[in-house]
Amino acid sequence: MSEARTVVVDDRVVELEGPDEAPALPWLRRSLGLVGVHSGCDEGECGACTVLLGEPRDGRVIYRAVASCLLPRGDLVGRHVVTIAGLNPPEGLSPIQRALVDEGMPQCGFCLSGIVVSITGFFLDAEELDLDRALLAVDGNICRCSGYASLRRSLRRLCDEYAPRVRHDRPRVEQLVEWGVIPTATAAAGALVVESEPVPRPTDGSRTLVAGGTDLLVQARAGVDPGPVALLPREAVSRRIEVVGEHLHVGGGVTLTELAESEAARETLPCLEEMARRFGSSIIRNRATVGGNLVNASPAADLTVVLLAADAEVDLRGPDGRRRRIPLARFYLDYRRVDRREGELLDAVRIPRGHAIAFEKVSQRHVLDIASVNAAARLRMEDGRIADVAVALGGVAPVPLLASRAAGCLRGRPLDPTSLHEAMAALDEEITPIDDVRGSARYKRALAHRLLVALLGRLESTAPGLEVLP
Amino acid sequence: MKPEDRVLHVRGESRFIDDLPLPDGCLHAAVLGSPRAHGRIRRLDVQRARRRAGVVAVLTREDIPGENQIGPILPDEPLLAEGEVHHVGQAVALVLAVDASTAREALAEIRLEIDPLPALLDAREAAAAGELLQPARTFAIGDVDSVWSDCAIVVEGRVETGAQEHFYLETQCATAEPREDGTLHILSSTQSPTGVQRQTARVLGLPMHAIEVDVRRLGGAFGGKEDQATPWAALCALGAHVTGRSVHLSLDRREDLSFTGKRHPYSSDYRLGLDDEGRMLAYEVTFYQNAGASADLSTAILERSLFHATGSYHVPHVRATGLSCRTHLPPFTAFRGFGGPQATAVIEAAVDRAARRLGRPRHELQRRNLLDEGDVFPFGMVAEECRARRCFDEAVARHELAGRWQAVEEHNREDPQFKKGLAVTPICFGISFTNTSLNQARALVHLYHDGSVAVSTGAVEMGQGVGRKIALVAARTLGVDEERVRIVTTNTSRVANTSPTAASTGADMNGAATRLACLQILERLRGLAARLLDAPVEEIEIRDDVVHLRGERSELGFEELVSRAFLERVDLSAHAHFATPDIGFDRRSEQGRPFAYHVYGTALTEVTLDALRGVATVDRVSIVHDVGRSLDLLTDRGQVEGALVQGLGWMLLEDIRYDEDGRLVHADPSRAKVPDLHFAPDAIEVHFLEDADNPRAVLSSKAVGEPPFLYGIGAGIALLDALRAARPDLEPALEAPLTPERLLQHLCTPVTEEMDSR
Repeated sequence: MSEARTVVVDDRVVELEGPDEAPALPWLRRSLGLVGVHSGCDEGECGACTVLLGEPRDGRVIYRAVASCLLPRGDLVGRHVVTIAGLNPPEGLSPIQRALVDEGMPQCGFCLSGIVVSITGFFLDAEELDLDRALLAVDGNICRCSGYASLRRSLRRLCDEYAPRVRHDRPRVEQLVEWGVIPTATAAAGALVVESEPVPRPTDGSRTLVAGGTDLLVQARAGVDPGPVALLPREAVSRRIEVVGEHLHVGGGVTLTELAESEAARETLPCLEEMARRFGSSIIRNRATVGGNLVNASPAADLTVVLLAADAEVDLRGPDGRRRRIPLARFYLDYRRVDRREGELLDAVRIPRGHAIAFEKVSQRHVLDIASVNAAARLRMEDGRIADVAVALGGVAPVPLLASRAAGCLRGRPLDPTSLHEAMAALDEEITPIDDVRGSARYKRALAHRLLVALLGRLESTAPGLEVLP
Repeated sequence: MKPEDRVLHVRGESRFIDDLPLPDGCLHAAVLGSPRAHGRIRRLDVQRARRRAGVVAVLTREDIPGENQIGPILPDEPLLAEGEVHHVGQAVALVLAVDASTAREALAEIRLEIDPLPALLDAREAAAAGELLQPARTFAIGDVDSVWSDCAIVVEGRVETGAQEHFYLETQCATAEPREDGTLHILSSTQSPTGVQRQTARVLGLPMHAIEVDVRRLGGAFGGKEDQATPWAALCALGAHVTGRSVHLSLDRREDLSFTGKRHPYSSDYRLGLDDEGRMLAYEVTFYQNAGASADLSTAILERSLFHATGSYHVPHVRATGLSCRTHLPPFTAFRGFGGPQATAVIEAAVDRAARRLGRPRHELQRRNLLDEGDVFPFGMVAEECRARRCFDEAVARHELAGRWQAVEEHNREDPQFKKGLAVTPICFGISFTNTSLNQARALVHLYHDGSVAVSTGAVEMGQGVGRKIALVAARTLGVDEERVRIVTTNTSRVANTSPTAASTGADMNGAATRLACLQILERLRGLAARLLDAPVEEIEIRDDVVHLRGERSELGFEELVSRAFLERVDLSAHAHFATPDIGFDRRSEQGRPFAYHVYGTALTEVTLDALRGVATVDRVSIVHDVGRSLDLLTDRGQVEGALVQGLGWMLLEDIRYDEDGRLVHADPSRAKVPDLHFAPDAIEVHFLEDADNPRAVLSSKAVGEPPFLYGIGAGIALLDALRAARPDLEPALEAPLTPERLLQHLCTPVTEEMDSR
């Protein structure tokens, strides 16, 4: 696998066709005839096209379930793509497929290949096979027929049966082959990508760089022309998470899943796991990157508000290798516009450790939805007074907003109805929500107040609650 | 012997139309939809699009050889716009090109100029303007006007229920292939193969025998492909007819969302009068149905609303009026429940309000007024085998209403922020097409001489398990293993003049026809077995693939018997016809017996409202449901659970709105929010009523597809409880969907500093 543009798909090696930035789904379906990978929405919203993407790292292949409709083809090079066809045992059914059939999950059938793939992804990468993780793994798979009750039953059954059988001293793939979850030929094909070297790509400063592609490709479908695009070179930005003194450094190439799974990150930002559960779905989080989320500059980005409240800084690296560090709050200039000079890449985020930070989000649908308003806050009390506070909100301004005036009303004062009322009034002055599909401006204003109350209540048990609202 | 559909599905090996290889030289179609809700076409110039490389043809209404009309009930729906456009997305032109992207790109080259006309978007405004599809219809019993004064209390109010997108995962698609002598073979993702055949023949000016429609399965439908699959198949057929080449059309999700109709929004006024014992005396209701730009199935849907006006209750004096209002929105269409949920939601909201007024527990009022054997519906039908009370009482006992009610009250006293609501929701849903003529089905059964069986019916498999049920009926009737039976595609050349697979009747009617056909073959086989075993035919039975003589296994196996039958020149095929007996309805008197029977059930629905954030969750739904003697429990359970969650989505989540220009606000898939795993309640308990034989359907079963959708209403009512627990000063109206924004509006009422109430 040294040649460029070859991909291992299921148990065969194939030559990639088409432009790097085109999505993988039509290629899988039309050119390779893998029509069991279904196309339901083409925007990462339904999970019918879910495939596993296996990436060689540290001598083994890490598999993640991803939406192939948002997966740029170029990112397949040197990797292992596993579709439903690669998961079918030569005869009969895998234990996952058997559980779904026995519990009566299949109705129209359209969603099922994606669901089988997502559950297999869970078997491959969950440390322990517990139900909570299993449910999280299928959170991006929409089924319009079943009401999900049979899916829950299937997952419960699978976890009950296989969780006790997990052996941590053995490679998971080997165990899954033994259980019949993955056919031998597909598992063996994974070995073909283990030793491959990353393919260097030139960085072209004039193009929009695509990292995970989970938002950019959706914008393109919505008729927002991103201009010429190029895939972000794989090794161009850091993919490491490390503690450096009083800070946590998170590489721009770290995915949301990697971030949420990182012990160090969770310790720095205890609200991270909760935020991640509300961020897209697992098939999106498995691709979406920290850098992409920040640079993309969505005014309602979930991760961004957390990092704003955490007082994070971003490290930018220019084409000449020159580095620039600026506070995240200063990174956002205007709607979808950031302080990034031509050719600069967001290499890492630097997050101070030791803060108490909480996250809140209200969206029409609890998960798999963009916030009407989201918010995060940092709080430290000293002798009954607020010693340190920051409040960040999304969905209420052209940019993710650090509400410094509201915070100013709180700092140095007791956390009581008076200070809270003043903070709410100040908040009203600094937010500028608009009427859109995520709610009326009035609604968002009301939410901003309420999420402020909710955040402070989470961070300080003596904080006033509902009663402070008019 | 044969792989099951379920097995194919989990292996990703079941094929949907878009998964099939296309015929050689197949063209791809793209549709130009009107950008305006209402207007006169001033100019339609397709020349530039025609000249584009890769484009083979661009068709407009002038290319239609037959009648430019596909309206199923009223002739008000042209296939391609003619003179005027009446809704955004109305098909104006069809581009045929060598691939789909070329076809879509060429749409931009069509010059379409429209002089805008005022657009009506609201049902009540349309009614005021006299824009009705038909004169208002009224069902009445007793003398409503004379009893109001006898009522101890009279409550009134308005209920709004919104549109709902089907979001079948497989979008609308079809492939039409020209065959010899000008005939066409069409693959269509439709619930109504005959509908496609009939309308295509009409459009092309061909006899129906020239059009063959074949359907393997649908990737979800829920009513959205009952009538609205037709235009896409007819457009493919038109393209194939004109070019002589095969044509494939598959809408992408955005097109599907913005071109196709949804569940009808209703705005309804009610008035309910009760005596001081809580007995309902009089009920008056007016349904304003937003029908959209053409009739589609709206009048039939309105009729079903009228049939369900009183829900599960007996009311002696009723006047229910329905208006189908023509607006400039994409024609609203069939969706699971077909007008029944909209009507049931109104009376449940009325009962809720009445209970508040009387200061009694709502469930007590509900129980007092439940239908009993012999009660008469407002349309004259008598309730028979009525199980409303049985389901209600069993649900209340089995799912421990009393204790849970108390727990909810206690919780609400103690928790200032999280408020719970608990609703009991009885349902009653009539089974049969309300258009009596549609209640007929046919089956064609072939027994091959190796002992395998192929069954053709008019039923379309769309995930509801109708194929599995019909296979079970065939196997049980013939006394053989189900593995022998294959349900083949639904094909208009094999089974003709089919009714759509709809109204929950697919298994009832097609199963009954299959049973009749199998019985014919069985009689012939038993006759032969009697001769071979030299025994009277009455003593012959086929069971477990073996001929039994006087209850004992004989040496004669099924396969040997079949093989002998063939050699003896016995007819191993049979065709049978089933027409639902004892039904009929007179639309002049609005009286009759439209339904073969009713399905009953009761749900207990528990919700929690977070009064700070204004968000709600459905915690638990516990159901007792009457499914007769279930043909297949796993299938029926899946239907109940799936319908429930769709109903919950309709009540709480799925917000479909149009802007002032008649454009769908949520035309991108990321905004069309349907229930996900997290939204669906963790705890869904379904108990099927026991000892509940149903003499009026095949093998004593009951229809199951639509009725459980109505359980969703319980979440709306329970949420009203929770809202009142948070804000005892409020009397919120049921306005679905109760989205987070609506909930917060209620919670913030009337404090204008924070937010105005609308």
